[in-house]
Amino acid sequence: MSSKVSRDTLYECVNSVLNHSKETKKRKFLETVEVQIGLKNYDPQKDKRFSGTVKLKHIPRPKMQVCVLGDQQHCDEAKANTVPYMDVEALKKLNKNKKLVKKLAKKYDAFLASEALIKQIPRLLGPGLNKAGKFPGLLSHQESMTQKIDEVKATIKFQMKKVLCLSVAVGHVDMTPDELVQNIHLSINFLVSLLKKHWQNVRSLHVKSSMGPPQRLY
Amino acid sequence: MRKFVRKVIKLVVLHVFDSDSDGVDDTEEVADCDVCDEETIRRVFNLKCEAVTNQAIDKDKYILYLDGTLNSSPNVVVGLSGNTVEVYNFSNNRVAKLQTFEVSGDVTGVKSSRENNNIFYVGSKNCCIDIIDLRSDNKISFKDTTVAPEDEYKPLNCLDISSNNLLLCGGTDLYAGDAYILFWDIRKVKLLGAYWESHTDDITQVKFHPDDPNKLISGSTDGLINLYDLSQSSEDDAFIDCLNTESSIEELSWFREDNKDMVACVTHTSDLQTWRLEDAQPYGYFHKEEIAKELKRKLEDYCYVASIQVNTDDKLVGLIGSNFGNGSCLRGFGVDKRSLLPLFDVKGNEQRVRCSWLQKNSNILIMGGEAGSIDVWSVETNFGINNKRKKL
Repeated sequence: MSSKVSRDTLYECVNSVLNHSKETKKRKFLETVEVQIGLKNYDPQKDKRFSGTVKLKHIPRPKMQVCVLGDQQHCDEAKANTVPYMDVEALKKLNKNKKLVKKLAKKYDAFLASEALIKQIPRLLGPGLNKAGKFPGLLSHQESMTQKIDEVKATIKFQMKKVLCLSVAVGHVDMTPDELVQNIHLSINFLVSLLKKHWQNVRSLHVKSSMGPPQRLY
Repeated sequence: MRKFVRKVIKLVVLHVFDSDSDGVDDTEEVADCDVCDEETIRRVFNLKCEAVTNQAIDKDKYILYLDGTLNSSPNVVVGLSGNTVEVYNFSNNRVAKLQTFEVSGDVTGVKSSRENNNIFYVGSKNCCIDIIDLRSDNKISFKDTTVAPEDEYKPLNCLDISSNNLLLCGGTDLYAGDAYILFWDIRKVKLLGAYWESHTDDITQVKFHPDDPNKLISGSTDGLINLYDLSQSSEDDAFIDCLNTESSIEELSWFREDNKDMVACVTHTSDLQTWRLEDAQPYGYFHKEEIAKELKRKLEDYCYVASIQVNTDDKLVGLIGSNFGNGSCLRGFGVDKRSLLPLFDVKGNEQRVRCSWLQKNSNILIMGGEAGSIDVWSVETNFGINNKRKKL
């Protein structure tokens, strides 16, 4: 447990976020739950960038659509698991056409590709997927496809830009308090571990749902 | 509801008070330290590392960028946090200041010319690369001529020079939705063109291949390392390969192993990855936990990769340390296939190191960091067949 935020505090904040979203003011969409972190004693001009990815325990974005760009074996596996997929022939048809690649990139939230395909992507598709921030991750034959897809869905990216705060989506309001607490706890510990002076760099921590009021954790 | 919230806030406040009264927090209570005695450190990190000299520049500024010339008494260009650049000469085991320059924006990179020991290139945030010539006061700058000077600029992050000293290249932060790689003709001082289709976020590194002026890699906070063949006429065709680190890239370097070109990458989460260009996944992946273990330190949270360098055999050498205290712990490692080989201990280091430059031929290692001091060390960085290390 992150020592500056007790387990009780975490549960209370999560519960009040959920309470607000489910009872006080219910919204017509699935609200995201995010953690906001404010920094101090941190100079963006001098200190290292605060940026990276971390894998959470529970999937924060269940609706994410992942498309497999697969070799024969992966395409068969995708078909069996009703995962969207494309084979090398389908990619060849795009013929580096910018509009078509852009359309493909827009259609899915992320891509995974077999080893044989991933190296051909620059040649087949050009930089289109890079530009969309969706260059595929590697899908190997040693790992299970569904597990890997869940891993992609559970991975969040955080990055601080010019201002001394950042927020990361760690879940949604249909998750159980336990799941949310675990994700929040993991994110906080990870983010704090990356700061040069750890907790001495943390000004504040809040948790909130998309439309709800922020709850202060620290 | 409001009552409930107030209760929560009260609880939080109480809790903060609680932990504050304890003095410090758990993670800070436990001081980071070596997991073994000094004797073991000496035995494991047994290659030479001797302090030669040091020069305090400005204790309130960080030294963030360093580069030097290839001659035997090199000129070293030092980029500080803010807009100051200084040039020093290192000879007879002493550093002497030659000149100080102020550039128009925050310094984001320094490079020495590959042809002339008097010429340096200084990149600043406002997308301007100034030429410093020690022999003259003439001001020559490379600018982004596609925008009017008073317009907003594409914030420059990094720069590099091709091996034949003809091309200057700069990478920028995201600007109006695009992150740019800009190219200038060095002799004509002219903007040649730009790429902006291959990254989705701030470009943090551009690195030309050490011998082939047509090969360039770029790295970004989007986690991608792109490889370009600059002999092609368009970005679509120039973009030939992409290595997905699935992280965020802080530093890149070319190196060689088994006579093959490889790329090393330090991420913002302090992991080190090595890639063979033909692969779809990292060849060597050194996570923070493993780095801490090899560093012989107790707490991985404090571990950081200070800098990566290439030795005379073109092999990769990493400087890795602990952030704890004043950052005195700093050690050198060789990267051999999938393992980290302990090389030397920088005993007596007094700052968190942020940049370094290795004069390969003389094995002089110059480092700069957060105490604003230039430290010069004489080190042994070669490992492998000639220096086969005994298994412990």
